[in-house]
Amino acid sequence: MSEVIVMPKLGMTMTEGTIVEWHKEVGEPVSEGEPVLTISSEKLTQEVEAPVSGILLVKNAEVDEQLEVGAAIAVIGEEGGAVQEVAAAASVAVVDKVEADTAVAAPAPVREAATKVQGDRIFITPLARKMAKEHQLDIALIEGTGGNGRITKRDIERALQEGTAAKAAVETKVEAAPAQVSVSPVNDETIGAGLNPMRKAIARNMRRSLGQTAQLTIHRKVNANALIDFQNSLKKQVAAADLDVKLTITVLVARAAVLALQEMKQVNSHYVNGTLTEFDEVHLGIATALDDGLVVPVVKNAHQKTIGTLAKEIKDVSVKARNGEASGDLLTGSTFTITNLGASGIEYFTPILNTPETGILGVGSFQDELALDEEGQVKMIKKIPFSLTFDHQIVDGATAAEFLNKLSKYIETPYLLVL
Amino acid sequence: MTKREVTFMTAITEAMAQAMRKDETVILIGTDVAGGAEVDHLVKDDGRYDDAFGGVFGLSKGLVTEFGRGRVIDTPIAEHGYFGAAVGAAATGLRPISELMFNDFIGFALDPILNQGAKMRYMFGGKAKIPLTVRTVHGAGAGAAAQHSQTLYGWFGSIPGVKVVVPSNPYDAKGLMLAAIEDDNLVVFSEDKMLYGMKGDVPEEYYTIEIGKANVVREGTDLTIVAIGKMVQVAQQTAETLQKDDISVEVIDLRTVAPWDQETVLNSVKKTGRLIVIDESNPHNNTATDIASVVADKAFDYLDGPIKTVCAPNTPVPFAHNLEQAYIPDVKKVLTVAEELIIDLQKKAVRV
Repeated sequence: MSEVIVMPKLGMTMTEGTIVEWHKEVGEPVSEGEPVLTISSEKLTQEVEAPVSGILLVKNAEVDEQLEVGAAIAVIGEEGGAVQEVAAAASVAVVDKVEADTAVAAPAPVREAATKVQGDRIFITPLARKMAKEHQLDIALIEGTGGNGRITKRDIERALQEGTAAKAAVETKVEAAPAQVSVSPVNDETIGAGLNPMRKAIARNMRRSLGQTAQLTIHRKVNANALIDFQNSLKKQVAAADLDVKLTITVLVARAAVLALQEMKQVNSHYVNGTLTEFDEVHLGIATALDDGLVVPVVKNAHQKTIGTLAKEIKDVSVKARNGEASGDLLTGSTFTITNLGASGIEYFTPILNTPETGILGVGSFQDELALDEEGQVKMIKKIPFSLTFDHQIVDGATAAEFLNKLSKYIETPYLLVL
Repeated sequence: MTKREVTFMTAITEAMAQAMRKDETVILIGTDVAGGAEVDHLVKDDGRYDDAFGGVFGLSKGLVTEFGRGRVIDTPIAEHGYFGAAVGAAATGLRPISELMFNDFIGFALDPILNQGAKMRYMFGGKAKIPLTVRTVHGAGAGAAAQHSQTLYGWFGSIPGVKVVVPSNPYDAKGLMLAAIEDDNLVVFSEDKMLYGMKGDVPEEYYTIEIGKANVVREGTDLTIVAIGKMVQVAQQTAETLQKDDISVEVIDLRTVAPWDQETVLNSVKKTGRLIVIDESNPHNNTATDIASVVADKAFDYLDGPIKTVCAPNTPVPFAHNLEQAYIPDVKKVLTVAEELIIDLQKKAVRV
């Protein structure tokens, strides 16, 4: 008996993985649970463990090679045993070829069938092609899970559900668009070509976001003196209570945004494939910079969380994301995203929507300003700059401004954050 | 209707007997259909003939006793001759059942069927009817070797003007046989010899099953399997197996090979998007390939995968038992071709 190790799916959006390192050589014994190799996806790096004890019979890919999710990576079995059950991951054709022979001859045919045929031609069933056309999906972005890597009805349905497939080029060319922005089609397989998996994913996501939405950014500065006082006061009390909570401005802004979002559900929504969904619950994406890229870990049900819990979870997901330990679920499902460039001294910027979300809040660094107090005295105040990008298809400028007003209310009256 | 379990054979025998009782123009003609022509020791005291062999498989056993030599006619081994006689009888007022002992003997019987029986109604401007039923036997599995085991209903099915029915169970066998005899056109009734012992509920009463209508024997949503004759069992077993993987298979018993029921098959494929046809014929120019080509044409935009056929290999039927078994389409072969169609429906075992 032998067991096939297949490329695991680490997140909802993962379609292929890259071999980073082999920890075992062909012919070497492995124990159940022992790492056989390390793989990386667009967002994560993970060790893949042996499902059973045995001998590593087949290595189906070299370091740096990319394989589709579900493709056979390796086979573990008894020494000299026939390589069977490769069918679990590959097509039947493979079984015929492999069953007949021993491990030595197996790798070539396995790889042939397991990896998608690269090239211009995309295999898709007539039904799936018709559906893709109806929904104006870009089939180049859809992973085919049918026989021979074909895109089937189920793949189209999955793409519609997950919103992973971009709309086809036709639709991105907005006729007589007032903005006169000529948006390149996002159906090009070459987007992100030559980049590592994470950059490739970023490239695709950003291009898709810009190609499919009508993004507009508005800016506003808000007096943050009260917020800073509130933060200091809370910090003291937390320290006195010996709690392990780090109350950053990001946490407080996140809390304020959550409260504002609950009042303004238009901004806490997904717009994908002609369907607008406004959410009651807030799953907050926290854009997190990595050495070579960016991920958006998600704090689930942020609306149910106190400032203390929010602080812990934001820290937790950010650390996990930076260490590449975030599981797939932690990186998907956000309804609104916050991105903070305050630490880098940036004032205003124009964040790009994390589609299918319809809003993203950019936070800049404090700006010192002079202002007249009630007695006519000049004093220095700190202001926090916000940049709100929204999808003008769904949200209008007035609504977006109102959202910032509500956000400002919480920033300027921070005790509301704990009410 | 009263039901009882009888065999496939008995159902056919009963159908012929009931048709002969109902309509005195119905006659049976063929090699050994009585069994023992004019043999003295078969003559009983009352001058009638004792029960004889009743055909090579015994399907017409008892008929000569009940209906006599005049309506159950033994012939020499001369298919061209007695098929010509049967076509002539049909054209001139009788309703003959003519037996071709094995469909492998098609060559000898072909001209009266192909050039006479199938053409007269057309060439005579509808003035002649040919209410002829050709009973014949097909199928591998009995160790009868290459010249007595072929599956050739598709040959008859390719002739315009000929209807072909292939029953898959005793109930259908009786109903289709009676419908074939009632039909005013030449109908080939092809029996799989491996089904003769199959038991099933069959009403005693006279009933017919509409020719040209397929039977959806199992409803499903993911994959359509069209099967002919004994392959319906293979299709049902395959459906049971795939059900364990939560794959829902619709099984269609074609019942009539010509003209086959396009409406039922196309509607099913439009629902499931996937099609496998099982046909024990050799793999080229057969009923399965015909169904595949029509579906590819008329349901192209509904297909969610390639159409697959599961047929016998392109060889004569082997005599050796193990090779003969390997020749016949079975569940394993169907599952093998199904794999490509349903791979996206299966839960992938992903290990991390």
